[in-house]
Amino acid sequence: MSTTKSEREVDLYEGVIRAFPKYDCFTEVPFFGKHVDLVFAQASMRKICAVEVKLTDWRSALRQASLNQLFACYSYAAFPARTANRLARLGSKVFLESGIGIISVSDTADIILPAAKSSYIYKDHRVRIRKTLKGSKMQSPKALEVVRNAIAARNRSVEFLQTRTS
Amino acid sequence: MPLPQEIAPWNFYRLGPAKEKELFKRHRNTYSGVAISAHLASYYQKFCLEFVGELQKPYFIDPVTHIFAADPDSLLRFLKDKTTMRTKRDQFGNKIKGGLKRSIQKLTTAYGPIAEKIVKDGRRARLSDFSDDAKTLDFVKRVCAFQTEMLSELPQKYKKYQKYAIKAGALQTGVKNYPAFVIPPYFPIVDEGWLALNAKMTKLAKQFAGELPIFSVIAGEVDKLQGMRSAIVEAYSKLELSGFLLWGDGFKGDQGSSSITAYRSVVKALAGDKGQPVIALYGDALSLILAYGGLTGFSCGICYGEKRGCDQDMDIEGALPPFYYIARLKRKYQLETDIRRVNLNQHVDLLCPCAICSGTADLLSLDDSQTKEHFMLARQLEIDAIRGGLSAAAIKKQLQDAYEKYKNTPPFSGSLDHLMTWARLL
Repeated sequence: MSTTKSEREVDLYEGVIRAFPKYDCFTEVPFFGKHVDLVFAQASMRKICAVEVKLTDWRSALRQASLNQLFACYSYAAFPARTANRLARLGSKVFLESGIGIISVSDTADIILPAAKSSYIYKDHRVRIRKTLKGSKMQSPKALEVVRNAIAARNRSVEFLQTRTS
Repeated sequence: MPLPQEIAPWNFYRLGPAKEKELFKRHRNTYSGVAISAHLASYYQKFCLEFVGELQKPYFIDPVTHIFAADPDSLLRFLKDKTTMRTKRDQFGNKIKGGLKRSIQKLTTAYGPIAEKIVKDGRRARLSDFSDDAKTLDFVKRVCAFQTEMLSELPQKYKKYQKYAIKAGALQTGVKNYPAFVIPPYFPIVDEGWLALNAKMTKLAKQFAGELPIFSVIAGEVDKLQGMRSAIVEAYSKLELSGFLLWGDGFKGDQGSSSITAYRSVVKALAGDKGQPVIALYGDALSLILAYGGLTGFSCGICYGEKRGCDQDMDIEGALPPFYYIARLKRKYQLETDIRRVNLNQHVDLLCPCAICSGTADLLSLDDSQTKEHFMLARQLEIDAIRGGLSAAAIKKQLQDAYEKYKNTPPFSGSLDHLMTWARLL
């Protein structure tokens, strides 16, 4: 996937999902009125990672990813390779200080800055997310294309988006 | 009650849930007046009557006539499952609508045949609905009468004290608690036709407003209003209005600078050379900045309802999560996420000196009502500073400094661009 062709955040999902092969993947997970782009959880739900995908606006990604630290053990922000590389050169200090990892997405997704274990986890929020994910696991996983279409149609209904893509 | 007597900016709080009544009473010095939506005044008349009667502050009733030009679906209530009491959803998870909302039903009856026909037909209002002058006059008369009569009587529970109050000179016989101003019926201005209709209804309203000031609502998409601002000023120029209420459709302060500049140009055009009062019908902290650019006041809910789309459903289901207003950043942040993520005690300049915040060791323990109280007190401090002579240069520097300091600090990063946009306006 070329970065220049990446017009939508959802186009980066596939690459990011491949970077977490041993995890169940959930998209657009509701969290206090917002939607977390991608959440990865082990089958036991003990380890949860969250990924905020953005095309260019790294400050917004930093903000969202920092909020994801309230429930995720590891929180990442994913960008197209060109943005990620520029960030690695110029702005990764802020991410490093905040413990937020950076994922660069091109044909493959590479973690160019590993996330630190979150020190902001709040038990109630973690329980809330786990409950949401467990509820979603009762349904059969949706193909990424279904999710992609749902997002494009701005259909953020619970039915579609709390489902796994893998 | 007359118009607010304070120096601008005036801040009106829009009445929301009944439990807010106590906040309005407890902090009556933190706002200039109260805005009440007509559908609330209609459905909860007794409550609203007692509320404005007790409060003795300037108030106005927003006739919300725009709802008849909105998607008819927005007038319908959600269907509830009688066993679970939750809203029913279709196979895609979307909420299912039922019959007409009771408050809208009551308001429609009050507004008479034109409104009733539009609702009965289940469609948006058309210009042709107002082609009959007699019917249009009746509609305008009813909308104005609703505002002048609905809440102007002394509340029943105080009537027994009326004779004593009159005897003591605290009340004049026959004096009513009228709104601060009357708002003629209005619809979003989408073209010259709707502009002409709004202006015509404003002209007709003059005969029904008595001696009360008339404020006309100018509603529509900001870009559209900017493009039509000369025509708007021209249409209203000979009507000798007391002021305007400006409603940018869905407009909010964190939009791009072009939208904000457009909004400001409409404010300036409406204010004109005479400095006519212009009040934002829905406004956030940007209204404080626009006070330096001709905006006289603004209206919003207590820590919510600072923007609204003309097509937006009047009622939102479910309780809003508590938000905490940070005055230095001119933004609200969600208590359970943003405020939980950051330790505000490490950022002393973000801490609020109000009685609510200084009375608690942990901001996260604040409940919904307390965050609203904090909002009222913090907003009052901001307004007092402007009324006290805070210069545009000083507030500009405050905005720039706050941006520079927090632009890379999670969770504030990515949410502060408005500070620089606003600074450029000053």
